[in-house]
Amino acid sequence: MIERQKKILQLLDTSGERLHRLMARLTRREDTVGDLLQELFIRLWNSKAFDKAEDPFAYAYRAAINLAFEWRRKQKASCQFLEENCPAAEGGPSALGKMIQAEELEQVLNATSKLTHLARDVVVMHYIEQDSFEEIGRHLDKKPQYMRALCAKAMAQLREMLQSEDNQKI
Amino acid sequence: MSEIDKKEIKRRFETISQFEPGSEVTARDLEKVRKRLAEQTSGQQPGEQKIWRIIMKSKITKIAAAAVIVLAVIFSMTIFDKSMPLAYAIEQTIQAGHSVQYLHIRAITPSHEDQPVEFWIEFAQDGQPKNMRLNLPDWMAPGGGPREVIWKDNKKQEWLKEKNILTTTEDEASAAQILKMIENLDPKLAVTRLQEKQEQGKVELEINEPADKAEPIIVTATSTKEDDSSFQRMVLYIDQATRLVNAIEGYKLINGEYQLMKKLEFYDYNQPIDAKMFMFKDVSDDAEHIDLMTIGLARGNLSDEEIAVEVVRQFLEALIAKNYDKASKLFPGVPADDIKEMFGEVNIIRVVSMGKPILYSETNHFRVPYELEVEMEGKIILLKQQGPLVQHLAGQPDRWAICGF
Repeated sequence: MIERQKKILQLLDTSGERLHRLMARLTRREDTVGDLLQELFIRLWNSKAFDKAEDPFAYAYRAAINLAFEWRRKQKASCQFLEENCPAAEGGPSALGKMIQAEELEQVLNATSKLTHLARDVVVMHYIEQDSFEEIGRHLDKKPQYMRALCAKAMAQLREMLQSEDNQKI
Repeated sequence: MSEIDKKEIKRRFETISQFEPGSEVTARDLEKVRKRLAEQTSGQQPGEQKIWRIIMKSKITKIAAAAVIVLAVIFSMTIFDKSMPLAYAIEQTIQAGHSVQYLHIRAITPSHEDQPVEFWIEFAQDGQPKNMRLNLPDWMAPGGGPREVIWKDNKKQEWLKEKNILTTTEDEASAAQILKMIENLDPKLAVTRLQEKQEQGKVELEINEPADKAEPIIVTATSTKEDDSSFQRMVLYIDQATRLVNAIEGYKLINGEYQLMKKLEFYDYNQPIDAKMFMFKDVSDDAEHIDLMTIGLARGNLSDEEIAVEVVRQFLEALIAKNYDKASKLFPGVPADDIKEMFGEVNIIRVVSMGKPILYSETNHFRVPYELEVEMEGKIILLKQQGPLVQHLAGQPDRWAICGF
């Protein structure tokens, strides 16, 4: 078995679950995440760049975020809600309440997809995956202070995008 | 809708971050990936599997696929024939490129649309470049007229018809340069690079597959801000039947608009190229043959500055020794007799010192100053000179020579 294949199988064992969960969060579609996870690992399998990656998980981590947002762009508005599995949707909100909440989550993810790739990755890693800026810095090979500043700037951009979208609805 | 401030955005992200897919779903999906990777190891074609999965993802296609299966049973059709059209995936183009042995390429620059650079490339069975011919129009290398370059058996020859000069070289640097050039032209590698950049988030791919099978599939790759590509956008035209690349256009973003900078057109995939194409047919008998390996000085382990100084030092020592043949090899294009005429009357005693070379970045050459002891009218005088210009030979970064005074 060649080195890359060994690395990928090892990655699947050690981090497959985490990558799966990340993609599920970003797509909010349990029925899709399996296909996307397969797509991710096949891409890595065929990727020469993966061989050169010093940190295979960090490489796969970014590739997974990229793939999930790529999928979102293709899906546009055709998203189905994770009603049964989304904890926030449990516990009694009305059907309308669920729809509003789902729409809000879609809005913030769609706005995130419009950030630069680096800013998008930092926001996802920090706010969705709850990574510290030190961890993000290691994954992206950048200084934590820069990651923090970039994240703050990205949040301001997100606020602006969402606010403008909200105003348009009014 | 709640008021959108940072707190609200964080709240939404927090909601998203709380989602945990069911453990059964996770286990099932991971198992599917394991199985898929095991199939990869055992040699199943990834492209076909993936395409099948993409097709099956769409509900509408699922119904259509079911109908086709029923028809196949009724009429005993072979529905999994390889000629059956499938949704396009970029891996198909990479796969198709593996079987390419011959290729004819025209590189077009919009400002000289009628004078393209043309390449003919033959690949060996292992996919490595074997022979190449390159026809360069005059505008690409002004002053020397059109040039023809042939790379064969690791030997590079360049024919300057208007100058009646045939140069030959077979050093490693020239071979590496040719291989790099072919690598940049090879459509299979271009597509592979795009796929890698897509994985790294450096480009975004958009695929447009027209229903009309006579029309090409158009893949538009747009760089994100993090990419350092020379083109911010590349558009690939893919033949629907063969999945091979017909053309690649490179665009730069200038004043907010994508402007076409270069176009590569690919012709005659796998149509054998006549062996005569890799030979010069009209080199005249009186053409000057120059072996580039015998002129200039090999760099060895020296830096650019050190080799520039060494070339001038050896040139001056050759003048002191009155070895004008050697001096001529360090000053290519100037015959030994002319050098004798230029410097023969100066009686150089010794080289006193070599100065620090000065780089002229616009033309990328060095000027190397020096001090000489010269005998003139019975007296020894110190002669300080700003020195000659030194540069590496065209296409040979490892051989350096004097190019002017």
